[in-house]
Amino acid sequence: MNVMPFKTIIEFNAVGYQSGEHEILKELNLFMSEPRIGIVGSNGSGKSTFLRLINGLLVPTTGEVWVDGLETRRCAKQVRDRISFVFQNPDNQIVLPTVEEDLAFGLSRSDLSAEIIAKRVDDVLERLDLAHKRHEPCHVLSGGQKQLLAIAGALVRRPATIIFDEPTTLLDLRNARRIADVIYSLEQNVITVTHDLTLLEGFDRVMVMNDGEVVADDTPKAALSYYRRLMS
Amino acid sequence: MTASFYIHKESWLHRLAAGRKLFCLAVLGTGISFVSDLWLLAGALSLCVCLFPAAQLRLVVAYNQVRPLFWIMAALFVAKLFTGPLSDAFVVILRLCILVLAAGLITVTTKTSALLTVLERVLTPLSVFGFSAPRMAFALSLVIRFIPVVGQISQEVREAQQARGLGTNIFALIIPFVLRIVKMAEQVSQAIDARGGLPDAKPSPAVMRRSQAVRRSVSAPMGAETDQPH
Ligand SMILES: Nc1ncnc2c1ncn2[C@@H]1O[C@H](COP(=O)(O)OP(=O)(O)OP(=O)(O)O)[C@@H](O)[C@H]1O
Ligand SMILES: [Mg+2]
Repeated sequence: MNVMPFKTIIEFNAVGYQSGEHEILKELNLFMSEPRIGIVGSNGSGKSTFLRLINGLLVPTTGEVWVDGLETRRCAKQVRDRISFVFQNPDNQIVLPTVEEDLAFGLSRSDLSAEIIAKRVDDVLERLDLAHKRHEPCHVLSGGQKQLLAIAGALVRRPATIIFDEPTTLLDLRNARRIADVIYSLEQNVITVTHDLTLLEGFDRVMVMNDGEVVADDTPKAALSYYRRLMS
Repeated sequence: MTASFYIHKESWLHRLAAGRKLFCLAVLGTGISFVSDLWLLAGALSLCVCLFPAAQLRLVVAYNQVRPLFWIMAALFVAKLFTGPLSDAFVVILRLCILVLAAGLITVTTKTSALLTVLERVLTPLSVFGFSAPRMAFALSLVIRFIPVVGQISQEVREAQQARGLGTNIFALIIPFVLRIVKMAEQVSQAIDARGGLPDAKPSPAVMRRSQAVRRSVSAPMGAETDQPH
């Protein structure tokens, strides 16, 4: 796992996603390469499904998703080395008992030596101000610290892109700001779903989803004002 | 509920390799089963107790290890009184306390990951039967990580149902609890995939390096060390 060049190109070719009879996403054709992309939309409009299609956690029922020339159905592993995912609830993605062990987990299947893994864990703990928590059991962390740990777990893999699914929804205002600052400080490309519209103001592109379709795809200003009208 | 089992301190006992500690535990366990001298056992017990402060841990940590077993030991003691002399009853209780304290000392001074690496090494020979030691070890660490999370979910469900006045209805408690656990399990499994997937059937890097080192020492040198990222 080398440091990725920080540029990912994601393509959706006629992507549809169905679950049983229910059509969750309808024929999406998209090209995404901007550093920061935001996605908004009502509950159940298909945002989380959309994100999971990007890194191959779900594969489309019709069409194809390509990430830097890799098709997610055939190359899920390589795609996930390029794109990390931060889920809404950090409790579900912290898998080992203590902070340090959990961070090392994301690198345990790589060919990196123990020393390199330790160095990377140190770097990311330092960067996200979690160094003093490194030996703590994960479940005693506060909600904000858990979300930071989840982000650290994504960063430690040195992906080119990080996907966030509502990263601030469970947090209080201060922690939400903290996470927003972290997101803006990343050199990685970012794709985030959020209901926190102020977070998206400095983004490069915002898409509005409704009922399994992208109904607006524009600058934050234009897309968000469309979204506000749609929701009123 | 115990937080996590490991308590971080900078002591020689913390630094001692997990494999050695487990080896000592095995020797101690076998050893004391041959000893029935009360004074000797009492000495071993005091030694175990003293090791807690030696590991910079407060004595209450030692007490916490035996406390959950108090009633079991009391029952055992009484049962033993009926089947033999008083000294036998003491021997059994002393042996049990020694083992529990020694095992407890290891769990509080050793990281889960270090214990699991040892376990992985011990289980690796089973791979000839298609048994994956790294996965087994990973499953155990998941259990340790999620015990407090599951406890918290059950408490949240209980509180939510109490607020609705359904606190005593067993179905009102179990159904939402199971639904939440299933949903969580689904998300955890996705998160594991997103973070690089399950440990595979091949031994962990640490075990690999050890066996490589062994191989290298028996065969001719194989050239430059390759420890770089691919
Ligand atoms: N595994 C599944 N099986 C069946 N239907 C599903 C599944 N996952 C999601 N859905 C349905 O797909 C639709 C879109 O779900 P999705 O989670 O992508 O929406 P969302 O925009 O992320 O919503 P929210 O804002 O609530 O997170 C919903 O109607 C949901 O009920
Ligand atoms: Mg969602």
